[in-house]
Amino acid sequence: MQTGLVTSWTGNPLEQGPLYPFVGFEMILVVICVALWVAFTVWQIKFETDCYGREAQALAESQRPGDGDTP
Amino acid sequence: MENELSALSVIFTEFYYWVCVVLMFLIHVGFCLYEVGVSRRKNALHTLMKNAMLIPLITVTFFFFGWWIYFAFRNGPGITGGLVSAPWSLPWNELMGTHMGGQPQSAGLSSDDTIVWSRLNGVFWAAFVVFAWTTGSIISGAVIERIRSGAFWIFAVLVGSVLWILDASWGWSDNGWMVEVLGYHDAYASGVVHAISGGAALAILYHLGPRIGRFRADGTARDVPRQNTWLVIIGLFLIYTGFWGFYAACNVPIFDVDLSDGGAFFSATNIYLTPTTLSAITFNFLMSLAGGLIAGYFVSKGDPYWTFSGGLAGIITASAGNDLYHPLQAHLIAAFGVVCIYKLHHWVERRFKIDDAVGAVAVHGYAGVIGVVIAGFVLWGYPSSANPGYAPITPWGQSLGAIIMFFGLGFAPCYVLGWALKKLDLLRIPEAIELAGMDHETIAQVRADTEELRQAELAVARGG
Repeated sequence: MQTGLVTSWTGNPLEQGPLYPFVGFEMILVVICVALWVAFTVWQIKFETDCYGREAQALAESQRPGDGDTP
Repeated sequence: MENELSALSVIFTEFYYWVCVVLMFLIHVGFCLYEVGVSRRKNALHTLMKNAMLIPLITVTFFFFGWWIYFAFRNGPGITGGLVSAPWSLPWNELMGTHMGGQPQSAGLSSDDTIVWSRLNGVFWAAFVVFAWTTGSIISGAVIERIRSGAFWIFAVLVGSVLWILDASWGWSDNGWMVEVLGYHDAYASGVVHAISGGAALAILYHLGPRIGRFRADGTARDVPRQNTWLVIIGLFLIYTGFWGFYAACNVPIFDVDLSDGGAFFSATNIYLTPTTLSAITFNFLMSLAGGLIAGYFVSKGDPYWTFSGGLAGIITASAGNDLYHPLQAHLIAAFGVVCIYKLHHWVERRFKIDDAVGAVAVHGYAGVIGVVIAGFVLWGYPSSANPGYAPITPWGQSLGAIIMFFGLGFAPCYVLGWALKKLDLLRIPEAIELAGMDHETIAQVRADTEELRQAELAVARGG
């Protein structure tokens, strides 16, 4: 098994080039990470909207006369 | 890196930027303290999270496209040429990872590219990323206590990873079209970081509206009490410290500035690769800080918040020309800028009912614009670049540059995005939440937990 291009640390490092593993798969990593960022953004906006909706409803109910312990 | 001298030069440059980036991180520690200190207790945690989360979001998007924009858009494109090829800045390029600088694996890269960028790509990128966080943080303070975090983060990515780096490509590089055509000079980013962020904040504030209760029926503004002035002041001190690191990061530490045949003279340079010294910018940084603090104290009659903000605004006003000014010029320019921005802030607040919670539009936006314009007069006729045929620095080139920064790239795009988010009801939190406080559920939970714990302790004390 060999995940990277480095096979030995002896010799001139200039011959090594990139040191990270899975050279050649960078574009796939970019696509995955961009998709995760977009997904996070969409999820966060939905999550925040849901939270505010629930909280606003709870606040409205707590302020209704005769309903709950807050006058 | 074939001999010790070239290795020392490259690795010293790498280390220099690395140290600057770590210092600049303090800007964001400062911004978090400052914003939380200014907010009310009922909104403090949301205020903290809104600012802190811009760090990962701008970082990752700057990796995706911000760094490439800086190199690729030097000509507009379409103003002085087309897109510029910059393969080392693409997110899938081998030079965006660990590399020893040998023969490239990917097409489009040369050996020269790998030698330079294998050592400097990450540290340069990080310096620009931290500048990008700053643009987001400047906006963040202005809009506290009523903006939705999701909306703010969209603005932060737009400004931090697209707009500011586009203006840096145009006016904060040795061969951007604004430098070439307008003679634009902005050594420590009065316009390219501060004016654009102030313009963006103003557009967002226009759509967002003031906090509930901010203005009286007669139109005058009420003060919103800050929960902790100490946090605010410590935050501003940390911002000063990080800003000092930012000044160093705007320089190239070692560069041969003698372009004559056979000549060689190594100096620090500004971002335009024209000579300055760390000594000169240290003089000017401190003298402009001093001018800003004194003017802030004078104009606000000793108000701590505006005195410390005045120090920051003073540095920002002098920054466009602080590579070349005499320290006493920097001092006077800073003081003049602070008097102007203080008056402008209160006039805009009264006239347009703009609720800028931290005065960011004034401290960053107006100070940045004023600083860029002043540099046009004080540095009139200086060459803007070492490149032959480039326009010299002029008042009209600087004024047009300031308009591009504040209105063209700051205000206009954020006005459009703010309008769209408002239409979608994604810009502002519901009124009931604003009245109760964004942290009201957390505060209620802490009270309940505290009470439960107190009861448990009482039970133990009673022997039960």
